[in-house]
Amino acid sequence: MCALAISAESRAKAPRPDFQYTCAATLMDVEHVREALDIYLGSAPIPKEIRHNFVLGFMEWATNLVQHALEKPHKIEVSFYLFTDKAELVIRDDGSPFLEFADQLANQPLRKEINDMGEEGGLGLYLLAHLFELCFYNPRSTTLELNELCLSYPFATPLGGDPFILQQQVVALVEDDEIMRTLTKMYLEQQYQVVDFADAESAWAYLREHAAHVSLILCDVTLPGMDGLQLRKKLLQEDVQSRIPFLFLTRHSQPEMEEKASELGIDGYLTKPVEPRQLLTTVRRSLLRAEQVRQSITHELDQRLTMTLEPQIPDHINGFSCALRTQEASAGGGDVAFCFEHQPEHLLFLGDVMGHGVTAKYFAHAYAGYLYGMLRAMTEQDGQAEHIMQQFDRCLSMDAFLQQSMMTLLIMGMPTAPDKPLRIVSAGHPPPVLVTEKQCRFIKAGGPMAGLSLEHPYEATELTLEPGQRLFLYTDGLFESTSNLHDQKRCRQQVFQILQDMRTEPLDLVADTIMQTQSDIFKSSPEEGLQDDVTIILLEHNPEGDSQ
Amino acid sequence: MKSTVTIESKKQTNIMHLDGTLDAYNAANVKDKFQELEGNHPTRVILDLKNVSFIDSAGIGVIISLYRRLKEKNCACVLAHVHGQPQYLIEMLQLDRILPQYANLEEAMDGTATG
Repeated sequence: MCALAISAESRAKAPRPDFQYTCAATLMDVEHVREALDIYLGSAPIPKEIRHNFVLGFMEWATNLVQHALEKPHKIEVSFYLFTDKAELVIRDDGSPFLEFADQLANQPLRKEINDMGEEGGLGLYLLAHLFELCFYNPRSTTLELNELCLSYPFATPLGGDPFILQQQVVALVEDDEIMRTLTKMYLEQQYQVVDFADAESAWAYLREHAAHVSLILCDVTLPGMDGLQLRKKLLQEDVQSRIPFLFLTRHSQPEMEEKASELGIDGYLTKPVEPRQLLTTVRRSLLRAEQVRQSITHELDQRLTMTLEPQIPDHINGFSCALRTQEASAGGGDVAFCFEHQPEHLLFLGDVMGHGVTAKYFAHAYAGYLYGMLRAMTEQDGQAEHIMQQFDRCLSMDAFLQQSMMTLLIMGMPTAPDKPLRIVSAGHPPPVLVTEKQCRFIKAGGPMAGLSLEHPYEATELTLEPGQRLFLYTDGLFESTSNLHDQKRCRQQVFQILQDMRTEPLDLVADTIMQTQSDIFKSSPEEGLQDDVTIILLEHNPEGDSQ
Repeated sequence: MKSTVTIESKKQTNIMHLDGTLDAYNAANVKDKFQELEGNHPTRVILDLKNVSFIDSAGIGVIISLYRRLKEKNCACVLAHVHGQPQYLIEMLQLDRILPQYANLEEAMDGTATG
């Protein structure tokens, strides 16, 4: 292959094209290459429009070379490269270069109206410039052996929305016929990681443990022992990742089988013997469809749940001014914060339901809703902070639903009488910080996490906020949104500094500054995105606040 | 793939069944066939693209030139069974603005609702 002058940087990393073909410069040969390219691109994981564009782009340029080059080329070489962020087609030839076209591309937008279109109107070149965001032409020179036209199509989002989709998606293949299994696996491995099984029993054993890593299941209907239909049924019954697309492999003569299978909500069939292009297309289509469904559901649920359960407390509670800020992570557990009015003290709850991943997010919302109802009922029975925590501890060790997750909880009694102290009860929650003129210090208010059946008597820590002092409550996410210890420490130091330096500034301003600082630190962290919800609450004594 | 063209006449309508590709390689051949279409002075010409899998700018060129010549003679030119890459290209170039498309030949015959 010749030396490359442009976009050599990107191709240098993957110099071997995914498709390459060299042909004589005749219309008939060009036509053959077009067909081959079309077939190849049909199996590549790119959208149909991009495929059409590349095939058309090749046809237009190659035809142009054959028909209009002053010195006709002897050969035309076409190479297709697929990267995770773009697809590229390079057409090289040894004819005389089109210097004017290079100028045109560089200087003038090519425009075309329907009325101008004719048989000789240069529609082909217009199409080239129109179809591809990036279209370069390098005439051959002393350093470049062949002319080359490079048509590049950057993906708005990396393929499949995930930069590693090509390497990472795992297909589970269940097929008892060894030859068929080896063949199918070989085809699939062009684009996916494949785990293969000779029978449904071993597939079931694997899927029970590893279903979360599997993107698609491709299963023969007829298998010795448990058959494909039974495997599907079992997966559905036990709710093992029933949202994984499920494709059946069938032989022609099994209409009654197909009917049965369609009752089990499968995503499609492939008829054996499997044709590689159809196999890859069907698998890719099913994966894309599953991803679309998943995204739309996630988005909708997120919106609904976030609106109903966003941590909220009033700005003023019994002579205290409060500022709450919360930042929700897209995955992981969820924070809860709410306040119940009661006598002799109002109760403020701040909790952190643990969990990882997107599923945990839904669960945390459901959990928080349940918790809210339960704590509300408990408050009405006996509104004392430590009693509620005790009762909550007992409930947690008995309630099957609540046992599905762990949570830290802080309950703070805020007295209605002005001379009474705040009373703080904590179950595994990070300690509140008292901000005084001189320093920031943690308040010891500790008990074990609830639900561990330790029968621990929770006690309240009493605290009177003097004028000029502030109390800072937060959830774990504030410092632990990353596993990077250095960043955690840096964040802690900066938050303390802000609390101290800004202790006479309005609560809202301080709260905003802390959230901003936290976000800046974790944004620069190599881990992408917030790993956990962050909620902070700042309080200060402000007897006039209530009447405002 | 060499394309083949067959012409069918029904009343005042000529139907041209194209088979294969409509590109630089085949354009000249198809263009010659187009002359025949005008022989019996039809009032309507239907291009049946059912078996056309690919069109390029040369193919678009011959369709446009046919459309122009027919228009001068007050003859309508419509497309039937447009699908796949040809449909993509025709819509991208907004040719559907001047060349009505019909889902099948029956609808194309009397110009009823598109499919």
